[in-house]
Amino acid sequence: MIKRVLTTCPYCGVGCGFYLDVRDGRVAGVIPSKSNTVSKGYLCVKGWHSHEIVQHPDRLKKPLIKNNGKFKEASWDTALDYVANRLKDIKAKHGSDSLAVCASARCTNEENFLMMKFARAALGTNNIDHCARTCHAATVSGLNQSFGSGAGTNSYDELPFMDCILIIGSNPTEAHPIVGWRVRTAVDNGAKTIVCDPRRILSAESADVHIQHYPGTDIALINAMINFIIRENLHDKEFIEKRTEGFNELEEAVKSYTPESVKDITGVKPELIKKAARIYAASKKSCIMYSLGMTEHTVGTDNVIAMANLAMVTGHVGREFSGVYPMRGQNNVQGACDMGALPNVYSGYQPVADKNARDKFEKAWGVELPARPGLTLTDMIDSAIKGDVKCFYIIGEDQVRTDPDTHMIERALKSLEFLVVQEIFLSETAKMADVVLPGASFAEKEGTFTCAERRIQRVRRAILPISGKTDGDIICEISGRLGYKMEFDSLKVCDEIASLTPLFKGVSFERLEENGLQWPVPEHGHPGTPVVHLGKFTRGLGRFIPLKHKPPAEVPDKEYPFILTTGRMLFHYNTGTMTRRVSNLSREYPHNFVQINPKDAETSGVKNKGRVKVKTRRGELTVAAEVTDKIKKGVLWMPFHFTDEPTNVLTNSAFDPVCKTGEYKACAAKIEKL
Amino acid sequence: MKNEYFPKIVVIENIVNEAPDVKTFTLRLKHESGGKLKYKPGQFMMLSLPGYGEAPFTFASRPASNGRFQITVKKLGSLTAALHDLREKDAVGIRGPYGNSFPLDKIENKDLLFVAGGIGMAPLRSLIQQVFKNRKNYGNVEIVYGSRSPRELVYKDEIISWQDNPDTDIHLTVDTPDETWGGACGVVCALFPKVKLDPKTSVVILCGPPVMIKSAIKDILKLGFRDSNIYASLERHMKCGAGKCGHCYIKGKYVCLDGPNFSYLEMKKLEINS
Amino acid sequence: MVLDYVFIAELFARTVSHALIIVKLLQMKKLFITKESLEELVKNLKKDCDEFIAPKKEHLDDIVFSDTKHSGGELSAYEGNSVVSPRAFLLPQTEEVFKIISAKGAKFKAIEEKTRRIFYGVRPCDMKAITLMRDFFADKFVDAFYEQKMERSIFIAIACASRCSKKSFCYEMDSGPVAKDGFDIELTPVKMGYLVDIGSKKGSKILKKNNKLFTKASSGAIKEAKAILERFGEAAKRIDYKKLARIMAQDKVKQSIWDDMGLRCVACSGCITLCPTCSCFSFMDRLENDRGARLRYCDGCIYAGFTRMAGGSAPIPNHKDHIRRFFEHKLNIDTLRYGRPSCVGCARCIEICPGNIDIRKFIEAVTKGAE
Repeated sequence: MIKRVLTTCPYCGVGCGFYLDVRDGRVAGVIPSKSNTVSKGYLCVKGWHSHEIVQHPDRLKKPLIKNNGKFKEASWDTALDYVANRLKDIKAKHGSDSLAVCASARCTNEENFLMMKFARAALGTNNIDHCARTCHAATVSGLNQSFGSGAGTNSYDELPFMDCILIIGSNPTEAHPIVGWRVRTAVDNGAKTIVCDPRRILSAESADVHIQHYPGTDIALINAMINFIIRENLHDKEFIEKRTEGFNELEEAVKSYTPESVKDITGVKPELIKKAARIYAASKKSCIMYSLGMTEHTVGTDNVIAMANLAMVTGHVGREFSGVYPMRGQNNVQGACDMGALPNVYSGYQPVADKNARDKFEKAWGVELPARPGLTLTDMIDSAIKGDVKCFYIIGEDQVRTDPDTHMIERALKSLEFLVVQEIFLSETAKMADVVLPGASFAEKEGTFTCAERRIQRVRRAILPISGKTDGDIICEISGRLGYKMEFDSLKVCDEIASLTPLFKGVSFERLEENGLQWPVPEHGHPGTPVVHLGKFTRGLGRFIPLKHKPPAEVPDKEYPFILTTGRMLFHYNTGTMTRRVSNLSREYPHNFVQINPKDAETSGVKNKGRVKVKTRRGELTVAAEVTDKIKKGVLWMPFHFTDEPTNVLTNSAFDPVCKTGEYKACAAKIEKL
Repeated sequence: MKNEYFPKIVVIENIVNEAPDVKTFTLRLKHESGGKLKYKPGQFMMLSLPGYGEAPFTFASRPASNGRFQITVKKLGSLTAALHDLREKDAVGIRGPYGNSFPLDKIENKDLLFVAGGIGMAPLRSLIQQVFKNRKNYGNVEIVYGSRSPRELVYKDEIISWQDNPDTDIHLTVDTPDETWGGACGVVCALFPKVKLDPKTSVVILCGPPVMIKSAIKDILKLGFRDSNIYASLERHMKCGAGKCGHCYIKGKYVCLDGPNFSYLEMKKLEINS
Repeated sequence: MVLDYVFIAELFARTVSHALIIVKLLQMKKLFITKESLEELVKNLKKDCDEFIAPKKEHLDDIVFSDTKHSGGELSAYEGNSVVSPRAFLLPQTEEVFKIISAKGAKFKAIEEKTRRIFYGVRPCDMKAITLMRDFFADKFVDAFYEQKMERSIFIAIACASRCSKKSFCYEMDSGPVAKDGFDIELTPVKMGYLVDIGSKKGSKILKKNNKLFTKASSGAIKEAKAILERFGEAAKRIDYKKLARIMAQDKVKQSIWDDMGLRCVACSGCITLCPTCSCFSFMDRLENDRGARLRYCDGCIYAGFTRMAGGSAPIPNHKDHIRRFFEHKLNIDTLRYGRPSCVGCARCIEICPGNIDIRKFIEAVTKGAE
């Protein structure tokens, strides 16, 4: 029997649509959907192979309970009873706030909503967070301060018609290839592109300006651009006058940042900064695209604000064919944020501290809810080490491999009394768990994902859950055992979300059927919002916030002379639990490596393909060297997909004080030839 | 209809440690798979290790009447690593034989120069054994063989015994010698001046890593050997062995069908040098 | 003067090739089936197969080959073409080739493909691709998996009244708007129904079994079909693929064209997955404990790992040369080998390329650049 199931890609935050080709119950292939508004029939290599992992033999099929350090298979009832009882015990003994839930950007909106409901209503704690903390939390906190809303401002389909695209800290052709296709199309249509990246990424090959600045010097770079724009009278005075506040303070703050004065900090020729600033400001339709190269810094929030400043100074926001595009890393990291899988807000960013919002949720859920914001993921790790948090319930996330400074994460997880991990493969984090609950992949569930252009799209079930339960089922069953009943039917949960969340009031499965909806959808029948801040910013006036360059927490010195930065590759995805199980993807890049500039290689005696040891103050790793002029002198680059050669033993867990995102993108390192 | 991709079962009869990370396996077809395997020197098989897939290996021994055949395997990837973990009496799958053989008709009564690097001696050994079995059918034989270190020379004892054949010269070399080594040092090409065969009529057969083949052919040509008399056994990524999977495709030719043994004349047409 | 001459020559060539199609039409087209009778025929055909593979409207405007034996919804008079070609069934993205009963004991169990399929509504370009693929898979070593499926398949083609997409160039590649061979039955849509061509014994058998559904074609219908097909090629010019192959074989393609491609291709694998004439594959084993299966899956030249060897040495180290291999195989080497290219102009690779690589523009650039 042949079945075609239209669904949304489980990889990055672009949100491509395709059919799963199901033959006699076997997910045999992928067929792109040309009618899908996001992908229009285009897919990247990961999407083209997303069928391969669904029924991979390594999938977890039965719950595992650890006994004397060894996992033993258990029935669902035994495992769920056991988990529920342990949660109950810990809650009784140490209080609700000794529990913490890590929700999943891989799961559906409905499941994330249930998780946050579970944490708040069933466990009684606001200690819920998810991996947005390690990627785009800075976007939420930064854009929220500047514009009043923490999501991308415009839509993908505007990109091909831009006159100028400024790409900073983002590698669209590798990390978000179908947005990369739009950038490619824009270039083919004559758009100018500016790429700011220490590496000569593919987009840089066809860029008009490639700025190879040092990692962690983005504010200096952007301030210098703003300085030059104002000096050259290229700023949009009318826009500044009518739609923003705080311009004078900004002007004052960037005075000392001339393109010439930041030359040493950024390592960039002033002419390049001037050229880039002129193109960006003078083009009619200009936008900024960024991702984790900007957010994963101790100044992540400030980096995001700097881009908002630049966009507002030139009036390149708040209208069509402009704006700021934060490229979200995971299929549903936007949605997990939107659903309130965050310690301080309910769904639709309604603050838990706001009495009216709390009252509404208490009434709907029939329980009293905690008023104090909970712990962020970063704080949870600290609290676990300190002993305040006793139990983690982690869903679809591999902290041991994704969080910076692996050794510290391992210490935190070891300090816990009880660790539950819900996963589809036995990840490094799952290996440390007391109980592993087998979750379901995207192909086994009904629900929705929200992509980086705020588009909520349907995910549809192609096969029954391999473990017998979806992640939503599991949460609901545990909740029921804790005495708080939650009904899991994704359609009904979607309606519940709509009824409690003004941003999603008009969202229902029925209305998502065709091509999804872009939030806000404030009314029933509302067509959705392709461009936000049109005519007026969500917060009223856009706010300029003056910023100063601050170096990364760790800068190169005599002992550790290089800046190590990390990133995603085309063929792999995050910890590689999925992509490294796909034959062709794994074949393309089977092992970790470090990129080093030929000049640095020469002075360090490193040969191409030779083995080297990369060392930082936190750890060391032996990998192969890739000697390439694509990387700036003084900078090392490594991917983070290789769980057996984990790059994050090296990265720095110093974090942004506002959003608590770790500084993956810059730390001091040295390299030794073996 | 015969399913070309369905393996026959062979049993491992013997395993010899040739060199670090190199083992020679003696195999025999299981009776239910049809008794004997007919192949010619230079041909290869697809060896199937369930769970790891398949990989091509050339026959390393001459076709023998007892139906036993050998392959010599260097541990390079996951399949070869798993193969090294197997023991005698374990079963694996094979398909084949595939590919052309060495130009057996063109080498009869000719002087022969064999040039091998590292594990590249494996396919040549199958032919060399055949040549020595029928020694009188061939002219003078010279063998130039090199490896990275003395420990990495494969079939050492057998190669030394080849020297006992009449009109036969063996030249060995290593890149990095150790205290046991009293022979030549350096790349195989450095030994070519010692070759005494007539370049105009002799046939050269090479196998080794791509870099070696490339440079050796260059040097051999300089000595005056004819490009139609130079043959190399080439290595390519292969999945089917039957000219279908496309991995080994070069300009309309398939290394698995039209090769793996090519004359340098053919190689030039395909614009390849190794 | 020179320009005029070229123009006249082109016009002449076009007229000649048109005339050839029309002559062929007049010789062959004798039968006719009404829309209602065709529905009846489809109903009857469905009884004699396990899968009735036909174009079907999926989400919004998506047309995809699906099994409509039970679900219905097959399209007869449809514009456009299926996202996937019949290749998706003959050489699927993944398929089991045999079972592994015991990995440790090296015990295997063969699988035989016994599904009887009727492919309905196959476009002429895809029909041509199937004939090319069949030749390839039956050459020297017979690929039993492909051949068994072909033997148990029936192909009912539908000629194109209009272009399936702006980017397609089947006429230019001599593979549209009508199929020349490979089909068992071909339908050419006209106002009142379809002209019917029988292309094989399998086709005659179907005709015999359902002969009440067919009538003799009227001269009016034949004329109408002629006009439709004529209109199809009106603004188009056949590509001189022999000349193209010659230019490519002489390595006269500008290096900058290959360089540009290398910077465009993001190795998505869409082209090699959707191309109706791509045949490359790999195997992978899927084991659960000791049991499982060996799967064949689509693979191809755009991956570095496709040619890289276990030891790490790479005979084709540059990415641009991976794409070059794709183009040369289809346009140059196959033309030299078989006398025709292995591109049928379906434009699937163009429509899904995130690097906007366009094989048609490539052909134009190469042939123009050499003049």
